[in-house]
Amino acid sequence: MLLFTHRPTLELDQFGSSRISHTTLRLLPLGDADGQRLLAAYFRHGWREPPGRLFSRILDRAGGNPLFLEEIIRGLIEAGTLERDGAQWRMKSDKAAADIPASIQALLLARLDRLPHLVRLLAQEAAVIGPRFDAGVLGAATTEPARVEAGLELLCDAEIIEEIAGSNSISLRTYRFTQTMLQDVIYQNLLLQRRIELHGRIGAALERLYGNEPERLEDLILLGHHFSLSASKPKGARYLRAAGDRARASYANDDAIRLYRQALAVLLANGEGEPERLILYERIADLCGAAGRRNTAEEHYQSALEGHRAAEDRIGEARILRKLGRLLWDAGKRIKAETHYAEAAKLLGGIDAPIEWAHLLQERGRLAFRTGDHVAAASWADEALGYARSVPADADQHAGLEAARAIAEALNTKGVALARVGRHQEAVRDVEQSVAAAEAAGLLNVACRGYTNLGVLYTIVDPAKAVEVCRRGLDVARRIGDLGFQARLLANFAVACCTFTDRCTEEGVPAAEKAIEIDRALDQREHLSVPLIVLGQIHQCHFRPDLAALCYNEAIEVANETGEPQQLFPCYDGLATLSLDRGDMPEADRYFALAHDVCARHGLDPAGLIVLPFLD
Amino acid sequence: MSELHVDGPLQPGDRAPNVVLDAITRDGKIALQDFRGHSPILIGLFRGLHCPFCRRHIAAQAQLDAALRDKGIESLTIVNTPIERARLYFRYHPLPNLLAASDPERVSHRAFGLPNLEFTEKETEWPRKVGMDVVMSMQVDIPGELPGPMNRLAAAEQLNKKDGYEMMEADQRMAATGQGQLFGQFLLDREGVVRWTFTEVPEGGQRMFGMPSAQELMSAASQVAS
Repeated sequence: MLLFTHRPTLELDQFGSSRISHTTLRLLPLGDADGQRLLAAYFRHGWREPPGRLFSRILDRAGGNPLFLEEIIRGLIEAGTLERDGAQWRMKSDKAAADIPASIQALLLARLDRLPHLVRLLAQEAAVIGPRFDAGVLGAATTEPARVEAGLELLCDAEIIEEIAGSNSISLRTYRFTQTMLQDVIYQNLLLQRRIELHGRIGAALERLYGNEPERLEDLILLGHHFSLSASKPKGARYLRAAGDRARASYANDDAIRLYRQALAVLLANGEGEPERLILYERIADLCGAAGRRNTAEEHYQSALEGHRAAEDRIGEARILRKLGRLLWDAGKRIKAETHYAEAAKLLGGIDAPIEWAHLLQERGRLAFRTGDHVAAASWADEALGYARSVPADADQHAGLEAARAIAEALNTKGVALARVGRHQEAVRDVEQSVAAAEAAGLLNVACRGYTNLGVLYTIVDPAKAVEVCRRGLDVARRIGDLGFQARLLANFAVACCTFTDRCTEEGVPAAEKAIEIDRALDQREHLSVPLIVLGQIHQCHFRPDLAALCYNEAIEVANETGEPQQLFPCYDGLATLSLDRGDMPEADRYFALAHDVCARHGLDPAGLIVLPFLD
Repeated sequence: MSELHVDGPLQPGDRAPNVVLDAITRDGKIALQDFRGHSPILIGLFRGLHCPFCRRHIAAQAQLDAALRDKGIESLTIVNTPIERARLYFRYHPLPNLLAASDPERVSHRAFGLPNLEFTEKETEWPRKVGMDVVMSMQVDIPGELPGPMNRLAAAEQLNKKDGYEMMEADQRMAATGQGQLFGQFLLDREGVVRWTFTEVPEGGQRMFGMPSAQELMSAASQVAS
């Protein structure tokens, strides 16, 4: 008997003979457990430090081929990544196993070189599509569509690719490279110019197949990927941005940020695409701001701001200034926020930009509300509504959505301002309308702001509804991944729990603590004192005066940064009543006077702040 | 049931007892008897002013005062806080037209049958005693934080709380200071007969810290006024 091994080959005929019979035994790839055993045998003398994920990286790369496995290890030793330390092994760099050893590259390329010329070209085109590819896409992108079916069959026979989703129709079949290294090596050995050309052809083929607004997000990402690597880089960036927008619309915010960043990197490498670049800076900043990554958000807004300034786009500049102002207010920097709003208003002077005016006036109204100027807040909000409602009904989709956002936000601001001046029924009506408008336009984060306030406003109308609204809001905030609103809703939920249910300790305390944790993590200085006050109130209610005082005192420190009356009042009032319980009348008197002053300065009714705390 | 009724809070149809207390918002005493034959009255029997959430209830009741007055109904807020302290509080939180009285000994709460809940280790005899086992067995549900309602121990584990807040200690301290006083609101007609109540007593504690909706209260008030 003659036993011999050989690589997959197309020419099996040479073994054919009528005088001998032969049997082919196909060696299957090594399974992970066998691969691990082989590696353990190579490194049987042990490790100085645990090799971490090295083994699994080598196994992934080798794809079950023991020769590759051995060659990868040899390559790592040659490169000095792995070395002997006495009897044991040591890994010098964590980036091990990233490169393909030259010995394997040559081996793999030799397999490709044995293929007929046209089949080799087909393999190259397939490798540019990716480690797995649809025959339909390859057929649409190749220069020789008539030869695709036969070519793929040959590549399968040579075990360079394999079919993974079978179908009678060739165009519906999906294939993958038998070795991911194989695809990698073929791709890396293409001339840069040819790669660029092929990516362009594949992008164009995908456009022909799926259109330029494909239904599936994956197709949009593919279009972005191929065009980004083609000569039409700005087009690739646009597709990536569209994919980011699609992800953002479904609140997959991390994916959206990643896609926007990819698009931005493409444009920056290309050194062009100014208006597109500014959009990307702004969108990344918007998402980072909502996720509490304020520094990143600020950096990106600044880049956008510079761009709009250079392009003398005053509306764009005003918009970014407004957003920066909001970011500053979140960090408790009231005066800086006001300065930014004022600068934005100056830029917009005399410009017909109803949507930007509406947003800016609404933000100014909101800030006025939070600083205790409720009459001004209601009037800013009314002005904002006037502008937003002047946007024609047949405006484009983006303008329509922005108008809806401004209307929903302004109604909310107006509602809470009216609540503070005692117009309770109108307040509830306006905030309810705000939530309805936000929900109708699919603006869930705006709806969350409404839920936060309804949870407070329903207090004396319908307590059960107050708790229910907080729960509903929390569900939504969680679903859209908005941590800022989660903290707000958790704090108000704790208040509702402790006022209306017996679940103060079970639900109120953990909710308040969670809100504090989020506010600290996100550095939400304009809100942190709220959950601190709530926790202080719970401690006070449960006869833990020392803990309550700690909370109130910390809350005062934070609230002093913004000077917000609805936060300062309950701190002083809490410390006053704590003194009252101790029988320390002079101290109680002092704190009551401070609480009274806060209200007197802003023309607020203390009872109103007790019944309707923490509106926004 | 009959025992619960005798021990429990006054029910519609019962005649309210006379109670004489120190007035907070003016000089002298307030006697419930003085209202008899003159006007219906809403009496809110609250805990001390120490509790921020009770203060919220008191302020909320005060906001209904004008509407009640329109129907010719008086209202009286009774708190467990000693008179001098309560006076200082109400000096800074004046409730226009609302009468407030101080009752640190909880005489009125007892007279209206509102129990001072005793926290015990295992013994539950609602509404006089509640065992910590019952308190501990109450289901916890925090939307978004817990997958669903669960007992406290499981919840505590899930929440993996860091700052060592201990429920047991809190409740025991509450028990030690005897602060299980339940609160209630009673609407008396012109003849001093109870016509409507809302207390924390029914439903085995499920209504603790509860509050009637303004709508319910005003609808009862309309009946009494007519």
